[in-house]
Amino acid sequence: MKKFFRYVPILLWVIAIAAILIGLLNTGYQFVQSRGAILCLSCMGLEENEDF
Amino acid sequence: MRIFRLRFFTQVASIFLQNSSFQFFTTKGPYTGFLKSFCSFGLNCYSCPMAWFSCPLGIIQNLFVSLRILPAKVLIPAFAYSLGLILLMSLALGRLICGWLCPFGLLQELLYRIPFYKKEIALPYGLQRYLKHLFLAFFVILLPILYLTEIGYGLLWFCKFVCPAGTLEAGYLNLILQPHFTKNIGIIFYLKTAFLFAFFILCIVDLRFFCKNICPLGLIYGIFNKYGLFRLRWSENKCTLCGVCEKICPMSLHIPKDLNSVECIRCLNCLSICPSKAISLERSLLYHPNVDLKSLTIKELKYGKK
Repeated sequence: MKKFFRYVPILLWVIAIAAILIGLLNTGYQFVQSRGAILCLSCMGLEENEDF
Repeated sequence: MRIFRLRFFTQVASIFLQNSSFQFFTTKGPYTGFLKSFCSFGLNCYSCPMAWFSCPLGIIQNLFVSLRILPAKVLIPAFAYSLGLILLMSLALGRLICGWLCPFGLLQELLYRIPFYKKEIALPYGLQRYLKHLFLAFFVILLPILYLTEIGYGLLWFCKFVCPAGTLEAGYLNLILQPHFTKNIGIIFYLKTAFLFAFFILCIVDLRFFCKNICPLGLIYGIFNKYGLFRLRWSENKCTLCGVCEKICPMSLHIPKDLNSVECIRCLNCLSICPSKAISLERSLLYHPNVDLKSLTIKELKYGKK
């Protein structure tokens, strides 16, 4: 069991890199880009306004 | 003392590197290019007019909000990419990000330099250790998934009601640069402003109060402190049990038992101050547990456990 824990970080690295590759190949990065590119009123603490 | 200066300059450089998009002054909107598909280091609001990157905490909430709306073929790659990116950052740097790169971390350290009443604030009922777990569970994950507004879309609860970085970087900066936003000010803005000033006062009194008790992003990075690339190692043979490391720790940790705990922000103050060089920074892909010191502090090691 102790030997298994020694290799946990490598397993996590593999999972992280594989997940990023899957995301990149299937345009998952577009989700991050689209959400990050908006002027988010919630984040600013402001409220939606019909006149806006 | 060199490490204190190095860390300060790294923190300042990090703020400028992450927030130096001056495109805002020509387009009147935030930067929308390719770099926004990467996450920033630390709490740095993507609605800040000068931000190059996306805030990881905002992205996590957006993922959970979209869980009931987007089709699986969009959602799965989005989850894989975003969580993979955050996992990679956690493994590569862990809470070193909090100590060296987070803009809000630097702000808290500067606030603590204001001469005022200083005290380590202890929250009651064990909240000291678990309050940020509650913020992560409820404000970042559960409430964005479970609560839907009348238009069928969830809310970014942490961003909307708590995040002081968002209020400061996005709220106030955008209000200054685009005054027409003032008509969108409502009760939530006043609530967030009250939180912001409350956090400021608490950070003046207690160093990094927000990091210690509230920040869910720090908690995410901290979970991987034990398994990350950078780990602190304590050498039992070299340690003289002087306790100077515990006195200088900004997170008030018990050293050596908390060296690689969730709370350690890897400021490396302990490493640089240790007169006998008993603490070292280890870089390894493999996990090597340190000496088993689960329930001992320096004082207990020195004077025996009572």
